[in-house]
Amino acid sequence: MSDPKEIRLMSLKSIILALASLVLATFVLIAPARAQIEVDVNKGDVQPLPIAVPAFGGARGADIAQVITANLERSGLFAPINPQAFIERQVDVTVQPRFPDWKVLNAQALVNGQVTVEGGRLRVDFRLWDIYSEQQLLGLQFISTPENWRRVAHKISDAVYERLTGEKGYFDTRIVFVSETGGRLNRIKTLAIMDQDGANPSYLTDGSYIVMSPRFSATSQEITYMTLRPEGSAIYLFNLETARRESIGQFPGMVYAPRFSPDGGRVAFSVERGGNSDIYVMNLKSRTSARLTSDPGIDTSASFSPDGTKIAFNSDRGGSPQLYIMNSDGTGVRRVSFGAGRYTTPVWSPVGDFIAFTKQTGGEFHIGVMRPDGTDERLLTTSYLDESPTWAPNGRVLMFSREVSGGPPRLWTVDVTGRILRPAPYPGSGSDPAWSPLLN
Amino acid sequence: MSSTRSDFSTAMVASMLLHGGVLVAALISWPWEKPLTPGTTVPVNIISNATYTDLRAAALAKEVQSAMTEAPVPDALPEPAAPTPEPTPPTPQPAAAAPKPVVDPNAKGQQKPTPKPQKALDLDALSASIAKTRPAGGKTSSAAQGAARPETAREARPSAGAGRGVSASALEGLVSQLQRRWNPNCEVEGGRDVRVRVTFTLNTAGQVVGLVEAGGQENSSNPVIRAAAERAIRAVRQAAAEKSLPREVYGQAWAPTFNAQEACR
Repeated sequence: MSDPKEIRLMSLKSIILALASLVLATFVLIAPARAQIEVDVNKGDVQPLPIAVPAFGGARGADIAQVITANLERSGLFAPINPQAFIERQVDVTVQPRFPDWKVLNAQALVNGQVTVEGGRLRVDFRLWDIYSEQQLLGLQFISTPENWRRVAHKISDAVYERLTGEKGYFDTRIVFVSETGGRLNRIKTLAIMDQDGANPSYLTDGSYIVMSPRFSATSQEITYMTLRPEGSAIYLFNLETARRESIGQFPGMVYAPRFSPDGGRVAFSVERGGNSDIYVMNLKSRTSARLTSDPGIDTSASFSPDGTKIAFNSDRGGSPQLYIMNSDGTGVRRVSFGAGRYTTPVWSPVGDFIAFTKQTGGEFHIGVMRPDGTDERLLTTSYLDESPTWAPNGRVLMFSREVSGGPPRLWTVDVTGRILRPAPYPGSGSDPAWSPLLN
Repeated sequence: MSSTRSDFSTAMVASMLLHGGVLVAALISWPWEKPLTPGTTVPVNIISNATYTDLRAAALAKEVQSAMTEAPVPDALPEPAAPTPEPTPPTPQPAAAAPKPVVDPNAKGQQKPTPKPQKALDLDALSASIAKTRPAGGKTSSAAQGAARPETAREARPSAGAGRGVSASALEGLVSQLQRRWNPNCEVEGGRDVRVRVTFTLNTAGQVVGLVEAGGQENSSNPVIRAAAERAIRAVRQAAAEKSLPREVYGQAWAPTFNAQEACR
């Protein structure tokens, strides 16, 4: 029989030694984490992100995957992997993908989904996976009607774009523009609308009169544009939901270049009379208008800042067209462009960080951007004739019209860095584009 | 006495095994497949693209169209290589709302931030916060900061007691492999300003042990910072998974700082 005291002593020793061993083991395991070696990584592989978008399961699944793939590829920030290379072709949305099969393809991310049509409703479940962390980054479900599958695909594209870049997407949007047909002397200019990817194009006017400078309201359900007929010009508001159209009123002289304020409650426009052109703004509720500029030069192309407190415009009051900014009541005018050449069509970015413009210099046209204070000017494009920039709602992509010598105008896009320049996915001839905000 | 020693030894071994086992289990990510369930469904109304096709009739009904300024050619054909949009027949559609995403409870970090209840402005707390977070001398990055970095591309800064014995060529190899796999978010506003310090540990077989972390930036509420952190973590995981790192860097804890400002030049 052992002495009870000795047993208690040994038990105590056991506990102490066990605790000591635990501390030792913990120390051994965490020791490397406390002794980290610091290195700097100052270069990277600045390439579009490789992403895999296999066909979703179910009806329209392949179509939805194709629309997503095209959207992401067109953004210039993603490099969709050719589906022919896929090892795992049917990726069940209810289980984890086989990550090694996607690592082999160097895919950084994977989008998979399932389409279900039940009771006349379309349900799309999709997931976004980080291949190397083997984590789900997104899992969303959209419900719509079967004919609305393209919009669901655009919404998924927006979600993927935002999750992987950190910026809002711009795929669930539309473009109004002037469709141009016929020769140079008998050009027919028709107001048209399409999805940002060129799908679902349709006319809004019949081409019997000239339409110019369509602009979206921030609500995206209303546009304003200018018409030109032999009897004169007019500015219209056009509600896309109700098809209701109305003129904003009669003005002595030629009215042109309308643009909504960010809240949609006002429209700024120009009135030309006797060779002098000034900027006016109309309150759409009261239908009262106020003249904002009164100098003898040509003041036009008014564009509100996102908060509605400022207006950018171009004026030749200094001798050649340059960009100016004023308060929205017409006070505090100051010039912001000072470069050589002619600056026109300023358009304030929806996020407020840049003003896009058209610049003509040295016989060439450019689309450029500058900070609202006139600094950091960058020319993004150069061609025979580039003009009419419009911002995507995320403020990172511009659409504009480009004309080569003797050719019809086409729609192009460029990102704010100027690196991603490509034709817009609309095969016809078009000019004067206006990008809608994200649809609701 | 001998039997007492035997009991004592068994207890110690069992205790060590038990505690060691718990710690190891906590560091292992188990590859078991988890069933995933889609999120709950919230029915929403639909907006139809067809609402835009009912516009010509309305436009024509409103006013009489007059002649064009330049002699128009009726039925002018579109250019062969450039199809123009075709007017579609009017199909009136009721206007409704667009499809909306439904949040999947399984999804990580996808939920939109809910608006926080507005608090009364606490000027004391605000000034204390500013005093704490903004050192004199200007703006600081929210990213973890390493030691002063030279203009040259890379430099290893081993901390006390570790990393010694890793050759310059091995360090260069590590950095080179990370550079090859790092895809910085240069095209995005703010993406080129992010510095991400990633911490990870390689075991002696070259596998990542435990978590690859970016000091919390991977969970940042700023989506650009979060995306940048995830890209840096992805570079580490990819390099480790491909066994492309020099053997000499195995068995060490590393803290590479991914500097987008330099990489995006």
